[in-house]
Amino acid sequence: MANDTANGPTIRLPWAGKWVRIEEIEQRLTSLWSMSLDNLRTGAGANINVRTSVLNLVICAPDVETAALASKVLRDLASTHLSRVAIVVLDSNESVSSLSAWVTLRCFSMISDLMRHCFEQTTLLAKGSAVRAAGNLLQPLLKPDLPVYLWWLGDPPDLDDPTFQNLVNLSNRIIFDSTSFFNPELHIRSLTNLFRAAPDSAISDLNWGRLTGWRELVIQFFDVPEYRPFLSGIHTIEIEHAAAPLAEPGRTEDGDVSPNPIRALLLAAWLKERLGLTLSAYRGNNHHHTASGSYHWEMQRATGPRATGQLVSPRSKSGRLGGQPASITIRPIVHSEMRPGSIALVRLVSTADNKEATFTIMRDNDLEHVITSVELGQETRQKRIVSLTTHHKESDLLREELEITGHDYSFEQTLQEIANLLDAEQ
Amino acid sequence: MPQRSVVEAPNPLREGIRIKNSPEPCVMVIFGATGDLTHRKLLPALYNLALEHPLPAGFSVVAFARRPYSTEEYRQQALESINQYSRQKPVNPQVWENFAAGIHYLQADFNDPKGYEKLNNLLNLLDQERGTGGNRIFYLSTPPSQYPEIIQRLGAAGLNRSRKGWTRIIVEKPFGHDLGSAKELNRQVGKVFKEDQVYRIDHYLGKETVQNILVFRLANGIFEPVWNRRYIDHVQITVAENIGLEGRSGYFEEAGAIRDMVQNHVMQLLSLVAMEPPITFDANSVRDEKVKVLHALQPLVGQDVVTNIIRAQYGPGWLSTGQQVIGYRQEPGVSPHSTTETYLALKVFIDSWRWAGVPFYLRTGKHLPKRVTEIAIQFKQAPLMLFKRSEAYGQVEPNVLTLRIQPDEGISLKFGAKVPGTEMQIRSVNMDFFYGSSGFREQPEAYERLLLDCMLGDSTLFTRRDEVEAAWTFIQGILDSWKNEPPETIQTYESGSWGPQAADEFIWRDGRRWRRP
Repeated sequence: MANDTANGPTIRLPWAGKWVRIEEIEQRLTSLWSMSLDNLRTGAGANINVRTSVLNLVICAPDVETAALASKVLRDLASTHLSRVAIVVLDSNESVSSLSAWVTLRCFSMISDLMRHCFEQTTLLAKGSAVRAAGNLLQPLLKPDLPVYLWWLGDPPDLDDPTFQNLVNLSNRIIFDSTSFFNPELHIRSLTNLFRAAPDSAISDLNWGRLTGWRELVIQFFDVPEYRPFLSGIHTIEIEHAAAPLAEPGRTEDGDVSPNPIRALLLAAWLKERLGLTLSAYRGNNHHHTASGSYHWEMQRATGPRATGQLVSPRSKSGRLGGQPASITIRPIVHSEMRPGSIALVRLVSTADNKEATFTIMRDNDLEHVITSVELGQETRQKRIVSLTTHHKESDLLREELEITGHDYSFEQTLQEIANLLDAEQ
Repeated sequence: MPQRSVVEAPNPLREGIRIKNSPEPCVMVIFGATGDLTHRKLLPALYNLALEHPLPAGFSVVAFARRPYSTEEYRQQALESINQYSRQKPVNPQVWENFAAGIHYLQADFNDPKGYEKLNNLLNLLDQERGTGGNRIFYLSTPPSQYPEIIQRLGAAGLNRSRKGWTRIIVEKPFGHDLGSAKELNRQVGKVFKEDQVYRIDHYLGKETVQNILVFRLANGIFEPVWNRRYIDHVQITVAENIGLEGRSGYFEEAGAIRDMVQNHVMQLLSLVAMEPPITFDANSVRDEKVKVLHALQPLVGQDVVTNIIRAQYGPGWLSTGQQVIGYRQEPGVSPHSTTETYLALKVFIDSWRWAGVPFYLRTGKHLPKRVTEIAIQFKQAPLMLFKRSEAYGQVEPNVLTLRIQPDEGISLKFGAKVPGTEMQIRSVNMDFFYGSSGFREQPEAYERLLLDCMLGDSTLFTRRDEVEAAWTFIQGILDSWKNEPPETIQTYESGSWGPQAADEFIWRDGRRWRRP
C-alpha cells in the first residue's frame, strides 16, 4: 500500500479540510473543537459550544468530484443536527492501494454569529484494495449511541461486495437516489434485493421524496367523502413520465438517464399496493418496452381498498384476490423542458354506483405547477392549480430522509411491488 | 352518498404517508374580515395552506363585514395583505388565482338578519358550485362585544348546523373580560352550538415549541421522575414584549396585562408544564389534565394579592432598539390617571401532591428589553456540597432547564462543569438544543396549524369551556381584590428595563432572583 500517511497525499482536497494521518483523526478533530471554542465569543451569557447531536452520516462516493458535490450539499443540512460526517471515496479502479484522510469542523450560523451549529467532517480516500478497509476505518469514527445513515452515491453495488456489506452492517439506514441509476430497472431491483438481504437496515430513495407531492394530491382526491367510494372502484391507472428527445436510451447532456421510468414505477407500485390490486393471471396484454420506458399490466381489483390499520412489515403481507379487471399503464412522453423521469400525468378512472369518475393530475409546460381535476360523469368538477415543482433540492430530499427513524414501510412495500410488477412482464 | 368524517374514517391511501391529513372541502366565514387579525394572520395562513397543499379543491372563504367593498376589491386587499404578511413571498400567481376564486365578500351589518339570510344563500350556492358539502367554519374575528350578536343571529338563521356536513365556530380570544362575562359568553355560545362545535383559539397553543413541552415531558423517561416538588425549587414563566401598545390603547386600557397575557397565554403555559400525564393524547384527555391544574391553583385574594403580585406601568425610557419612548400614561388614548398594568409579576402555588410548596413565578410586561417567552425550571441544589473547602465554594449554581418558546425556540440545560486546570473551579455551562425550525427550516405559523386542525375536527390545541372558566375563576379573585386597592399601588418602571425594582425585591425576599432571559 502506498504510504500516503508519511508525506501526505498526492491529491489536494481544499474542501475537505486539513490532511491528517489516519491514526490522528480523532486527536485532530478534538483540537479543531478546542480552537473553535477559543474563537467563540464569550460575552456574558454566551454558551459553551455544546452540540445537539442526532446522527452520524456516512457518504460513499465513487470519485472525488462526486464527494465534493456531496460535501456542498451538507451546508443546507445543519438543521438536522448532524453530529459527525464521514465522506468515503471508494476508488477501487486504482492499481496502487492507498488511504488518505482529511478533517474539518464545519460551522454554520443558526440565528446569529453567537449561535453556530458545528459538525465534524472526515474525508477518507481509499484506493485500490484499500477500499476494503473503509468499514473498519469508519467504526471508531462514529459517534456512539447515534444512528448511522449511509448515503450511497451512484448505482447500487454488487450486494456481495464485502466493503458494501461492511458499510451496510454498521448503518441503520441506507439512502440511494434512483434518479441517477444508469440502468433503472436493473438497479431498482438491486434495492429490492438489498432490502431482502439486509432486513435490519432501513432503505430510502430520494426519488420517493420527489413523489411525495404527487402522492399527496392523489390522496387528497379521496379525502373528500363524496369521492371516497370511488377508491375501491379504480380500474384504470395511467402514469406518464418525461423522457428526453433522444434517439435511443442513454444519458442527456445534463447527465440524466432517459428514459427513466423509476418514479412512474414507484407511483404505480404504491397505488397497486394501496388499492389492493393483484396481477391478473391473464398476461397476454402485458407489455414492456425498455427502450421507451412503457409498461402495461393487466390487474385484478380486490373487493375494496386495503383496510386501514397498523402497517406491517411487507414480509408478512398477504395478497388479496378480487375479480374485477383493472390495468396499470406507464408511458413516456417526450418533453424537452422536464428532466427525464419526472411525472407528467397521473390519471385514475373509477366506477362506483354505476357512475364513472376520472381523477387527473397533469403537468403541462409549467414546471412549478400541476392541474388537478375530477370528472364525474359528464361533469368536470373544480379544477385546481397546485404548486408542485419539478425541481427538488437534493439537500431537502436528503433532510427528509435523515428525519426518518426506523423503517419506511410504505416505501419498502412499494419496492417489493416493483419487483412483482417487473417479474410479471409478459 | 353517505357523509363520513375524514377523521372518523381515515383515507386508506394515507397509511404510512408522512404528510398531514387534508381536510374535507369547506367554507370559512370570517366575521370581521376587514380587521387587522384577518389581514395579518388569517388570510396569509389560509394562503400558505393552499400553497402547501393541505387545503382541498373547493375550499372557500366568505368575508363578512360591514364596509362597502365588492368581492373584487376585497380580493385585491387580501392579495396585498398576503404579499405583506405571508411567510411565503412573493405570492405565487397561479396558486393565488385559484385561492382568490374561492373568496367572496358579503357586506352586511352583524345585527342585520338579512345579512345572515344572504349568507345562508351564498353558502348553499358554494356547496353546489364548489362542492363544499355543507361544511362550514364560522370565525369570529370581530371585537368581542360583537360575539353574542353574531352567535345569536347565526342560530336564528339556522346556520349553527347544516343539513349535511359539519359546522364549527372559532372564537378568538379574549373569551370574556372577567369570570361573569366569560360564563355569559360560554352560555350564549352553548345555547347555539354544542361544545364539540366550538373551537376557542389561543394562537400560543399552535406554536411548535408549546406543543414540544408535552413531547419533552412525556416522551422522555428521564424527566418525569424529577418533575415534582422533591427536585424542583421553583418555576419561572416569562412572557416579555419589547413593544408597547401598537395602537391598541382602547383595548389595552380595558384589558391590562392580566387579561391580555396572563389569563390566556401564561395560564396555558402553566397548565402544560404542571399538568399530570394524560391517559391518552386525545383532545379531551389532555384538556382534562390542564383543567385540573387550573382548579388546583391556590387562589390569590386579600393580603396575598398585595404580597404575591407586583403590577406596574412603563414610564418613559429608551428601548433596546434605541428608540426613545413615552410613558404609558402619556400614550394617546390612555387616561393620565390610568391604573391599568402593563407589567405583572405573580407568585402562585398549585395545591397538588406534585407541586405543593413549589412557587411558580409568572411575569409579563410591555416595553421590556426583549421579546421572549420561556419557561425555566430551576432544580434544587445538590443535597450535599462537597466542594466547600475548594475554590469552587459558592460557584455551584443550581441546574436550570429552560424551555424557550420564542424566539430561538429550543431547550437548554444548565449544569456545572469543572474548568480544566489544577484548581477546582466550577463553571455553569448550557447544553442547548435549538429547535429544528430555527434559522433553516420554515415552520408553519401557529394559525396555519390551528386552522387546519379545526378543519380536521381536532380540538386538542383549542381551549375548552371549563378550561376558560377555571382560568377566569383564578383571575377573578385578583381582579376583585384590585378593585379595593388604591391607585398608588401600581408601580412605574423605566421602559426598556426588566420591570420595577419592587419586582426584584419581591423575588429576592424568597431568596431567589429573576432570570435574565
